[in-house]
Amino acid sequence: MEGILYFNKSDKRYLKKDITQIGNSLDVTLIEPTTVIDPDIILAPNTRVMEVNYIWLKDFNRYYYINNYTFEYERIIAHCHVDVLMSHRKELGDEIIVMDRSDKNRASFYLNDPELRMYNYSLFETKKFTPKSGLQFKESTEQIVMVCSGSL
Amino acid sequence: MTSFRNLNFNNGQSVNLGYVTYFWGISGYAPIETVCPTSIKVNKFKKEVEKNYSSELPSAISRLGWSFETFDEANTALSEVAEILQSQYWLWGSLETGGCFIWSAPNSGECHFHNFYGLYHIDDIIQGSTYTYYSSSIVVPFRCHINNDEKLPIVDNELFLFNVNYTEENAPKVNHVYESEIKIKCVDCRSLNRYIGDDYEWLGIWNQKQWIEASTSVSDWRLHYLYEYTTDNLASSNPHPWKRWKQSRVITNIEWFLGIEVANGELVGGYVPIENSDAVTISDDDPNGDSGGPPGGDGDKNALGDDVDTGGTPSSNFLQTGIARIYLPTQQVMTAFSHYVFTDITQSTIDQLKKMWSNPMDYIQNLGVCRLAGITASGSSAITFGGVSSGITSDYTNEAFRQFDYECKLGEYWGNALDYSNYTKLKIYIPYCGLYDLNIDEFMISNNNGGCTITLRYRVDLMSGMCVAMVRPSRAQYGSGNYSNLNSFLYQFNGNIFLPLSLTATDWRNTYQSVLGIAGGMIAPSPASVTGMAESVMSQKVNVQHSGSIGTNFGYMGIQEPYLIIERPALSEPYYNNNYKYETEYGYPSNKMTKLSYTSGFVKARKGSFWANNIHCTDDERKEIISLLETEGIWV
Repeated sequence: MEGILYFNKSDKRYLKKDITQIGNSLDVTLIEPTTVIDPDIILAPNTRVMEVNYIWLKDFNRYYYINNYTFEYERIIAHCHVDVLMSHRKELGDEIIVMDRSDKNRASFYLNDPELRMYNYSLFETKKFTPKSGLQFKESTEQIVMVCSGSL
Repeated sequence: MTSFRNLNFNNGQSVNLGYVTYFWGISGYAPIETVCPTSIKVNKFKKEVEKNYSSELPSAISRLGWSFETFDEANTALSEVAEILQSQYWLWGSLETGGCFIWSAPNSGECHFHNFYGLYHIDDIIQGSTYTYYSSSIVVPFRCHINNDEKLPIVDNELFLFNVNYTEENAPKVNHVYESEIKIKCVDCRSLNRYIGDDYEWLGIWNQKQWIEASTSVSDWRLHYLYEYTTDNLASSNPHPWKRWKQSRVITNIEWFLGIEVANGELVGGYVPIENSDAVTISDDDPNGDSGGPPGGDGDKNALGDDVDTGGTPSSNFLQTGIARIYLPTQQVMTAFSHYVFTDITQSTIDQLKKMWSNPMDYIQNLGVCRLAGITASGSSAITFGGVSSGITSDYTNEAFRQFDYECKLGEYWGNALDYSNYTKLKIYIPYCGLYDLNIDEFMISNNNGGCTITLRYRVDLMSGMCVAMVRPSRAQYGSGNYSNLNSFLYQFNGNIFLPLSLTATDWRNTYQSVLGIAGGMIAPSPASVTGMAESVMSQKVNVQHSGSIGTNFGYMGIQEPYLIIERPALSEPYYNNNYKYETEYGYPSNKMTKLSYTSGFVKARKGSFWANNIHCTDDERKEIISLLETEGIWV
């Protein structure tokens, strides 16, 4: 099966991986029976495996993370796991989703955001009211009020 | 080449550069998001530069406080600064009708200085012709003064920037980390470009109205943008390869940064998110309730309510009957009256008064002192009680009820959910009534939406000193459906503004009894519910009662001015570099529906919203895709 080895710099959560091809395409052999999700493949002993961590397998039309290597006599076994995002990125791009969180498409800042972090102190502000008419309470005022009955 | 100095606009206004202000800051490829929301960073940067490079800075800069008199001066100064700051920071600036642009790239050691020439007005552009325009990376156009006597419709020296996110329907995808990265636009809708891989895209959004308010500009721009500008309107000559795409994009979000005083770097405005109605939000209900939407589809979403006002003060006509009169004696009058009552009163007077009561003092129904300034008198007459004139003249009033208002403005601090419950708390201190909790949600709204005017209305009965204090929020409301502005009195508290002056021992006993049982401060846990980290932190806080009831005697001795106490959460804002920010790491809450390829950056799907059923993959792969999108989120 034809395969292309890469060095992948991206986190697995990136849809499009930042990968650099290492060497030319090569023939790889699957260890059978195998799965399309977690295939083990045999690489030639002269493969630059220490430089690569990612592989594209033509027959599966998928990209794979190389999780680990097993070294045997005259062969290297690469234990792979499919990169579902990179492999299906084109179809994934056409999928319609409701975004719970988004970098670029936020709904409003007024949705609760549980990711925010607060200090364990608060900010306090005091604001005075302004009197809008002639009447107001004043420290300097001492108004006596006397109510008398039978005042006529 | 058209000089920016002599551009002629449609309205015949000849634009001449009075002086140029500019804006600058530390940045990377996406500088404006880093700088604009927190102009403090700009100031910090400015101080840092001034501190480190003050001896080297061009005199033009230091002399004019980072603004220039002429374009040439700006040109010279900025080019010098660019040299100084090479490999240190990005510095950018431009002039609105042409200008200069500087950037330095710390990673590459490059430093570029560009002049902008001929930012042509739309009507001056002949389709198909070639115009010279030269730009790199992010362009931040700045407002210039115009050389006439008319003031601009918006405040001079302010920089309006728009951070516009959009997706392309028909645009080719370019595989680059900066794809769909930042876009910037100025208030007059002249420029908008972005960096995409090695290409620079110039969207060429032009607005025929140069000086218009920012909000109008946004809608105007959107209108023009959505109704197409052909690419022939784009300036076209550039040494870089250009992508000139069909102008048919879906604007998903617009933010604008308002009021950054570019002349001195002071922040004079706020950060205003503007929702774009063209984006699809999953909150609209179907009126028939048969095609989904949030639960409760039968509501008419009509809440055009009525304002609840206090009405007028009660009538005081009973005072005309002579049953009672409210005297407003001065201290001197009161001294004379006391002398009359306690020394000058004769046996015949007592006999006369005893016709009706056993004690002459019973005719003085209330005697107190208050700190209410501005009570107007209706007239003056001899103090008469029990039908007996004392002969001592005093002012009196025929209005038993008085009403007066206080006002206070309240607006948002964070400009997000943190300004509301259960994060922010609001208390009001009302003299003679006490300190009370208010529901912050009833009072809070952003200043850009008018803020909230809080009215505290007192209604006082001068016969007894009793008062009612009523609280009204006046503010706009926003939400789905129809809402009237909130303009109703929602709270009523009562108290007494008199400090009683006792004439007899019985009066004193009554006075003390009236204040017994009043509690002091006490601590009680807040009943706030717990959802989310921030909320839980706030809700664990104790709610300390700052006072008990403050009425009667205590109110007289207490603070005489009403005030608010606002307790806000302190948001931890970690430092993020230019390419790694909060939204990059976590995203913002979204609740919008989109095709995945229409967005970019971090995306996390709402649970259950995404089935991946059109992807040709195994079921286990599908589960993994869904798991990644729903639990961890991915970067598109």
